[in-house]
Amino acid sequence: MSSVLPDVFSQWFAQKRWQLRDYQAHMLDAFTQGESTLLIAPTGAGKTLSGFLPTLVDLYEQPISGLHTLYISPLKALTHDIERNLTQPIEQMALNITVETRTGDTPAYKRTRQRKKPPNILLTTPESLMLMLSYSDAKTMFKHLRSVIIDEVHNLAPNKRGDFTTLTLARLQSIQPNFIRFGLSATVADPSLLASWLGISGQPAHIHLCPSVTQPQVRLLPTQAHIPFGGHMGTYAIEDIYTQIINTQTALVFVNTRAQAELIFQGLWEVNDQNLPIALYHGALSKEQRHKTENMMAKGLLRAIVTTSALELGIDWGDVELVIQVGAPKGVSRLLQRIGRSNHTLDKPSKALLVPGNRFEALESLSAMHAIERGELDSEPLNSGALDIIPQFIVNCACAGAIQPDEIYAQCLDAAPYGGLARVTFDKLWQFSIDGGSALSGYERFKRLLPDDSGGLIPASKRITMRHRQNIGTIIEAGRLKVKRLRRAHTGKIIGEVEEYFAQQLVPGDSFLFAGECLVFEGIKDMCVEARPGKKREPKIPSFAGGQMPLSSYLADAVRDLLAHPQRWYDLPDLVQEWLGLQAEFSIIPQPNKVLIEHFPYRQAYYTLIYTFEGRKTNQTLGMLMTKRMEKYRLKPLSFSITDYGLSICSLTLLTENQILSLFNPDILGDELEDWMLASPMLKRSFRHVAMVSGLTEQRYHGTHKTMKQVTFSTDLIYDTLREHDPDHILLEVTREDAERELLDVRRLADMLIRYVGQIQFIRLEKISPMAIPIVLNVRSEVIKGGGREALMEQASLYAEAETMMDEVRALLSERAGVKYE
Amino acid sequence: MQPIEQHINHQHACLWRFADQAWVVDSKGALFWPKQGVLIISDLHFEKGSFLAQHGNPVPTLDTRQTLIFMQQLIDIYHPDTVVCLGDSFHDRRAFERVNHTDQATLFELIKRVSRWIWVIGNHDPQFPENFPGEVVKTLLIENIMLSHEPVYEDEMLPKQYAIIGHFHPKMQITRKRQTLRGKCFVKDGRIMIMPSLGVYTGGLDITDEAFNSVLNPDKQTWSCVMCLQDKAYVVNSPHT
Repeated sequence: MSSVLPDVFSQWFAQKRWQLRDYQAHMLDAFTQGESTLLIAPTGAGKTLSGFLPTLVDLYEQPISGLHTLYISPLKALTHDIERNLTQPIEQMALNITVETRTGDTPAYKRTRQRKKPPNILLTTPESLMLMLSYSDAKTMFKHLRSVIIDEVHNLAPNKRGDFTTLTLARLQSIQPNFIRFGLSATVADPSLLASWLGISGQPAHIHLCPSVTQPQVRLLPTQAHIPFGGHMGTYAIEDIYTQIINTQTALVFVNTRAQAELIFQGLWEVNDQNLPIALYHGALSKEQRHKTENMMAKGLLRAIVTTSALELGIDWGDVELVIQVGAPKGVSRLLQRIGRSNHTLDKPSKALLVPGNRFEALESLSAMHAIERGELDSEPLNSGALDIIPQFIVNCACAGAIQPDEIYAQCLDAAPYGGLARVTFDKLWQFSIDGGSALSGYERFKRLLPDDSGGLIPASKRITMRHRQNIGTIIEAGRLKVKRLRRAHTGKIIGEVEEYFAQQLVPGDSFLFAGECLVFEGIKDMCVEARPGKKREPKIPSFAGGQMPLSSYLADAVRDLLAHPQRWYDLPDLVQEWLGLQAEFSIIPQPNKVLIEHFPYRQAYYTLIYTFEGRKTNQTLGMLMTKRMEKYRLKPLSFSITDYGLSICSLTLLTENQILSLFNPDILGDELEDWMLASPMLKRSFRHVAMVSGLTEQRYHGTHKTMKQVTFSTDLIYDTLREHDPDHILLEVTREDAERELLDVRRLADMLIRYVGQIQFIRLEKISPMAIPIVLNVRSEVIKGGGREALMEQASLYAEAETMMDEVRALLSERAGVKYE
Repeated sequence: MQPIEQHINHQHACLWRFADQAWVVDSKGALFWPKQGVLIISDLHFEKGSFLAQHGNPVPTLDTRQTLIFMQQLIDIYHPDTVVCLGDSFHDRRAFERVNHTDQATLFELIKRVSRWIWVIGNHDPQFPENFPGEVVKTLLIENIMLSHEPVYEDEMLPKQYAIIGHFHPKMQITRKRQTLRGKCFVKDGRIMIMPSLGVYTGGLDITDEAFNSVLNPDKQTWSCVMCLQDKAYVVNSPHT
């Protein structure tokens, strides 16, 4: 190793009884050589410090007054945690280095000051970075930038936020071409994908791998209570989870949704006879609440935290002894990441317990455990960059100063996901950013961007700049209302946010679980849900859109494989084995190379279950096409819901085997496909997303939510109008592409349909099969507009008088006609 | 068979009794009065798209065109003698200037096709340009029925008078067999009928909103609705009962 640590640093390492690890030395070298590097290391390896060490050394040797290093993390909470962890060595070594965080939670005065006089190290999120880049002083602020550290690359890269991040990097590159990119990532199946993502287009970052030395110890939690057929919450296991918490110094209880977090937390406190300090942590809680929990955890005051993915990434709590995953793990990498939260040291194995929510999830949990034992990981391919972010990027650049298309196009190309962006597409997006890009002539055009004296484009008004800054980002959140916990009339503390949709369902006197207690709803005042603590039976639980995590296709395959090998079922809890036995008895266990289709009456309707094991996108596409065909045959489909394992279609009509076979047929991919896709509700949902990210409609409007109602109307209407009158509009193209990356997979569906011709096992059942229960109980379903709903509506409609009224109207009409023709 | 009767048989419209008369309620959100040959449409909000666009919102400004197509289709079916636009026909005072030539020509053509065209003014369009085709009125009384954009209160009405109003853009949802059905709707009590909006870019207000309580009889048992679902219209109970 050529790098020699300055004495101050060596002494500090010695004091801590630490050795400079190989990969830490490697990062020091990489910095000196100016080599962008992706460091892949298991959690607990001191990854973050290795990213910062070169910065600290460089600043020690050549102090500068401006911004030296930018740290980007996908989570706000992480920035606070890193700040804590960085302040320690800086203080202990008495270094003259300033560190600050900059997130959506940072107060306005501090943000302004940070732009004028930035710290040496700034810890931020992609959205906050984009916002900083929208100010004209960005050029001065980032002038001396030496290093950008991107944490949790594996989490960021595969989604739109990752695309968004690469654009911010490209923009930084245009300001300061020589900064070094350091990426930190957990172990992934294919590091080269992430390395390309991290580098400039065509210049992937170097990869440094730091192998994991220990195998985590993962077990299924044996429970006293019966594991249920359906449901995802895992509340049946509360007592057993509590026992584990009692026997552990500190435990992290991971759940999959915020609603589940509230429920499990409530459940744990109901059995918490020993009054153990158990806390709740999720993204909808107010930042004060979250910071409080973070601090208590850092001080070791808590015995357990019930949490969502909000605590999944990198936060270093030091001494978490046990991780309990409640609910399906959803992905091997994700599970490993969560497990890695325990025992944050390299040489001791992490310990984790899995608590599947239902019997199907037990299959998933066991499959994930087997994958971990074999050292296999799920790999999700990276997509090309999402196009709806480009208009946002264009307007963002224009806010900072006059822009020319050539210059911005070149910057887009520098971002790896956009390396293949065609000029013609960019030009359309550029035009859209200027004036909405409608091809129709004759309309007066309203421009968002106008040329200034230099001929470059700038925002047409201050309002446009403001509106843009308020809506930066790719995360679409439903309208939120703050929750005020009342003490006296209308006074109290804000404890977090719920979705508007949920708040509107409440009537005064209703109770709901939030922030770990039962609140009684009083009313909505000044955009606040007012509620006071109180006990009531059957409180509601706020649900949050987007809370559902997709399962990796790897795991879906693994489950199918597990089903095909009964000899491996012995690792499953008895009840789950029994359940599989029941399935074999009542119906059929899905076989490899065959598709099982079940049909049965359930809840006043008929359900068709198709076990494809082909992942969500394929199932979504299949659901869409099959229900379209059903609609055409007047079979009255009502809705369908998908899981990674299969598809469940609900209809008003009993279907015959022949009908079902004709539905599950490659010819559903015929010529109507295009039209079907464009008219489908999924495409409309994609459009909604695209419309918001591209700036067509907005999430926040001038901070005054009251005007929202006037401004927002269903984007479905815009979508329909565009399709009707301006079918070549760029946003329709973008929507189509977005749907293909997020929702639909026509090619895989086609392969599957062809592969399974003649390989269908159809079975008609008297009632729901054991295996279907968890799938049918899935609450999120896709509504089919058409005959089924009309039939329901006809049942709901009343009018006994219709006949007599028809006579009356007929008479009136012919009288009028008579008058007219006389 | 009359095209209107066919339309009703296909459930694209339904019959409804109000003010002791029979009405044809069209699933597009329009109301036809067979006895008088009057077609009533409300809250067209022409040029809402361009209104948003001039505030930096790049929505496609195609709403006026689409709303006009709906109006055209309605006139083709009902052949009304009179068309009443029940207020908020134009989204804002300057909307008149922003309507482009093609759309303006389409609108004027429609007005020519009908013997009498009446613009009831609304809060969004309190003033029409001079010489604009059609009559401009504040409210309109035909037989014993008051046509007004904003609510008409009990003390402003004679006994035995009824009112048809717009303004609120009512919508509703009902649940059947665990499925939620949503759509814009007409809602009435014994005295007042509130019409939904016809304009393409208009949102709606759920009839459970408090705003409706001060307009309609507080006793919700007296309410009745026509819900528009897809291209069909159905008489239903109000979701309160």
